[in-house]
Amino acid sequence: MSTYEDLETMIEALTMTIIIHEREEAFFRRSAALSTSKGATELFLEIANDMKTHILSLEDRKNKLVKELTALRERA
Amino acid sequence: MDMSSLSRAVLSYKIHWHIILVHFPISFFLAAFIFQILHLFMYPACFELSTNVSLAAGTVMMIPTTWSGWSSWKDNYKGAKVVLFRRKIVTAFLMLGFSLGLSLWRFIGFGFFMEAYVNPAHWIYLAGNTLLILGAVIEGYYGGRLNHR
Repeated sequence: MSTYEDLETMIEALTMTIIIHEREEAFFRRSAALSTSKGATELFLEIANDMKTHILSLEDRKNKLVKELTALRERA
Repeated sequence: MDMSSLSRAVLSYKIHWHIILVHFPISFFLAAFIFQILHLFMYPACFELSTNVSLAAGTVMMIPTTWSGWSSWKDNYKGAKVVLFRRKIVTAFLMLGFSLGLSLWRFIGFGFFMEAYVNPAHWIYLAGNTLLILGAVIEGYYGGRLNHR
């Protein structure tokens, strides 16, 4: 029971982290679109792309946890 | 990268209405609570009128605050179905319903400008205002967990 709860808590925490990072990524993409200098636009896009890469790896970790939880439930 | 070309960087901040609006019901409910305590221990009827005005203002402000919170959850957080939001939403709707009920009970039962004529009503009114403060604490706790872990 406690393993389930721990996994669920971790999945929730990761879900929130991903959502917060997505908001930040969107902020840098909006800023890139509004900036009128090439240097600023490029820098903001680089930051946004770095965040996207980070989000994808977080999603990968989350999927692993979801799989683990599903397997645990099936075994029970 | 030519750093001089960064001079025209524009940061695209959004206006977050919920963060602006959420402070109003909390302030009004806290004022209602304090005025009711003053009324109970210092007696002047004007303190209870101040409680009524503050409670009415807080209740009215709960409507745009709840709406903006709901829309922020849908837009900014993609309607994420996690426990944190579930608790925040349930608390917000309970506060909205409870503040509305408490206002109607007080204003219809005893009149807006009149001091309640029965003694237990003053204490029930204080208890109701205390519950609203408790709701604000719960909202603040979960709201804080969104940005501070």
